[in-house]
Amino acid sequence: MNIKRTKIFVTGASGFIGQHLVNYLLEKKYEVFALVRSPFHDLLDFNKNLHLVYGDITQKDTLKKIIPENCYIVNLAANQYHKKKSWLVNVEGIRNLLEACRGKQIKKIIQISSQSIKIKNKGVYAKTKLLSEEIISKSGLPYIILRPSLVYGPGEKGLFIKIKKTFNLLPFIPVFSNGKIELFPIYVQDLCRVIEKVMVNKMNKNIYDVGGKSKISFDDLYQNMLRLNSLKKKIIHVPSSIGLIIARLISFLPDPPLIEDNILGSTQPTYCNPFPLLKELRIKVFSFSEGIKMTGEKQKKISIAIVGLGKMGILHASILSTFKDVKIAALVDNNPALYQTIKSMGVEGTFYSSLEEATKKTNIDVVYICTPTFTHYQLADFAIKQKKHVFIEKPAGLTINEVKKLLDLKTKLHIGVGYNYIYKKTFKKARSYVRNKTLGDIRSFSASLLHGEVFGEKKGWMFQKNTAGGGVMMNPGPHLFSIIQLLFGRPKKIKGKIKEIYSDVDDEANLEFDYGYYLGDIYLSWSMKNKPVLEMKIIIKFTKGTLKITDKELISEAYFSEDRQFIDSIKDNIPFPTSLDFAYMTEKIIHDSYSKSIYEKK
Amino acid sequence: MTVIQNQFMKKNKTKNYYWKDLDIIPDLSAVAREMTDKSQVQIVFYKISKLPISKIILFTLNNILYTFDIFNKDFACGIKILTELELLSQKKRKKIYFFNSQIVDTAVAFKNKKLINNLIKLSEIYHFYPVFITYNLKNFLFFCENSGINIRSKGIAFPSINSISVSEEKKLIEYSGTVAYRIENCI
Repeated sequence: MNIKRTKIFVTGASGFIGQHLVNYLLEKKYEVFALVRSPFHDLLDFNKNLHLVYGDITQKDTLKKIIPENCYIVNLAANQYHKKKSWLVNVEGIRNLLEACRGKQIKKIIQISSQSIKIKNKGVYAKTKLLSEEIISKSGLPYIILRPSLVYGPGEKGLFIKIKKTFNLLPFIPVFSNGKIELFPIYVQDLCRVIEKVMVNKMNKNIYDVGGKSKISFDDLYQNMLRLNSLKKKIIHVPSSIGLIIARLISFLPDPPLIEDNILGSTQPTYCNPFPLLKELRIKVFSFSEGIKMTGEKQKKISIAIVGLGKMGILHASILSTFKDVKIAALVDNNPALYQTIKSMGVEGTFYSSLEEATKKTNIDVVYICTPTFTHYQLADFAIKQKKHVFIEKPAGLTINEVKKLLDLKTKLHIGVGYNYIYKKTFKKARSYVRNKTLGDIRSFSASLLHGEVFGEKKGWMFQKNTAGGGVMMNPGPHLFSIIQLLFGRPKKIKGKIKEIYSDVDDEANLEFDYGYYLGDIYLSWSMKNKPVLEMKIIIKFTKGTLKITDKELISEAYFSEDRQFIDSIKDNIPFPTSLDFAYMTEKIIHDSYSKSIYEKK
Repeated sequence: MTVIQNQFMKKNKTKNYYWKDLDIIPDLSAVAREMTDKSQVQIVFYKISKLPISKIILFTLNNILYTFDIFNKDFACGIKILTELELLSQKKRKKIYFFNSQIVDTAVAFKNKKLINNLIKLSEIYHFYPVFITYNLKNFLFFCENSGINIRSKGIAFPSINSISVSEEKKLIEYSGTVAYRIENCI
């Protein structure tokens, strides 16, 4: 059988099992038709073997149009708690599905049912699921019914996540009845493997229990989940009658944390026996302890402290907030007046007035230093000694000596510096031109950085030598010098003139870099009229042509790319392009320019 | 040349603008420049003092209900005030304004529903057509859908680096009922 041509139609594709199953089947090179109600779902990136089909299992006519011929069907669509909708989706929906399948040479229908249909006192979910099993078994179509026990694994949906969310809400963990009812939790990837095997095997018209290899009680399940989430909460046994009253009282909520079926299902035995199917399919599944360990690893987030809640701190916080593998755990600033505003922005994380306090009280993996330059060294030194990965906004240090001292710590931790221009596509392309000698050898270059910001005396840390390290050369100059370092490296000789015009730091710099075989003219000014946006221009003359590179500082993908790469470098333990070494080389050029040029004071 | 192209218009209906000619509010670069020697509160008072008395009254009346938020230094309210002052300071108001991507994307990142709703409210008070510039098209649409923000018939503009090539994203735009514009040749 050519596996690549096998078509599978999956209903309920945006649910917890559905998402895992669709991704699993795509990995196995099947052609998947995923039924989703609206385009707003977390499903999948673009994949040529995936067809997202929009519709609802309750729409008979739509189903007829979208179900392909000669396919397998996996029915995961279900409604668990809404009385009317449960009948509509679980019973009428299956009738619609079967009718739409007529005449389409459907290979097999895999109905995902539930262990709850075996309990004595049934809720609406169990009743409707039982009825759907009867309808399928009388349909005359080839089918297999699977009754999984609790399905768990990484992800933002599913019963397991619902339980976890309830843990966070309550001061104790309520376990209904005596907590001794047993179940066979199955890791979601194992269930996907089972579904695939059942589909392609010759088995037909049968019903199977599905579960993991180890049996545990509800008490054990909750204990394990508490350990997984590092929570210390007490388990309290609550009579099931009270649970049922609570479930009825909150049933009006759009997505209630507790439903009647949860209580009925966790307080009555189902006598699940997953072994006959596992034996027949010859599948080895994970034990609960193995599965829960994998879940924990996949759900682990990198914990970040943002130090300095100014423009750059907020910028990084906003980008990092969009990463699913990152959690902003601490927000550090010595100005408590900021807290209210920052909180109202929606930034997550606890506020601290010092990094020392934050590291003591919160588990932190990475420290983002977004404070004024004069504080960088002290904060980075502290964070490295606390064994935290560090990201420092440029420049890394007030003096080159400070950067050297950080390098001398010889840490294996990841230290990144925020030279974000390096991540812009324009400069990446320019680098490939220079590296590959596309236009021949370099004959000369000129580079300028222009901004209209300083036209009189200025207050603030950015305009004092002892807090910023300099003026236009130290901020925003490092952007230009990082590109010079990237494209040309360190010059052999430097000469030039640096001037104070309006402020107490350098407002303008005219430099000449000698590389032996060619020269570079560099001009920086933050006192240029009609330049409201930072503008960088580099013209490189090669033996075979000229390359002009221009860039205006508008928000681009560079910051996003920079943060993503830094997080990935930590996760995969790979080098980060703008490391502390790169910062040292860049900032050495700046400090050499200061020491080797004529400095004109106001 | 920056090209703003309605995603569902025919090519001959493409509108051409310079990026600098787009009326983007609030102008955060200007605010950042002013903030080097003034605090946020000073900037607000300075901008109010420049307004004619009739506009000061209008501004005050519009913001009476926000007194509590102003007192609490609420971010969404601060942005609303800043944007409103910018609108009031203009001699001739435009029919279309583009909301700054830095503000829109901050709201998306931090899931700040109030911020987007405040901007929509401004468009209703000052009768202009709002277009949200975003570098996170998909996330923006998801955020609005999941937060119950009604962006039906409002504009959304996104840079060509995020051009819609995937049918899934086109579907999102259709479903949300927004009018989508693509910005070509922007950085």
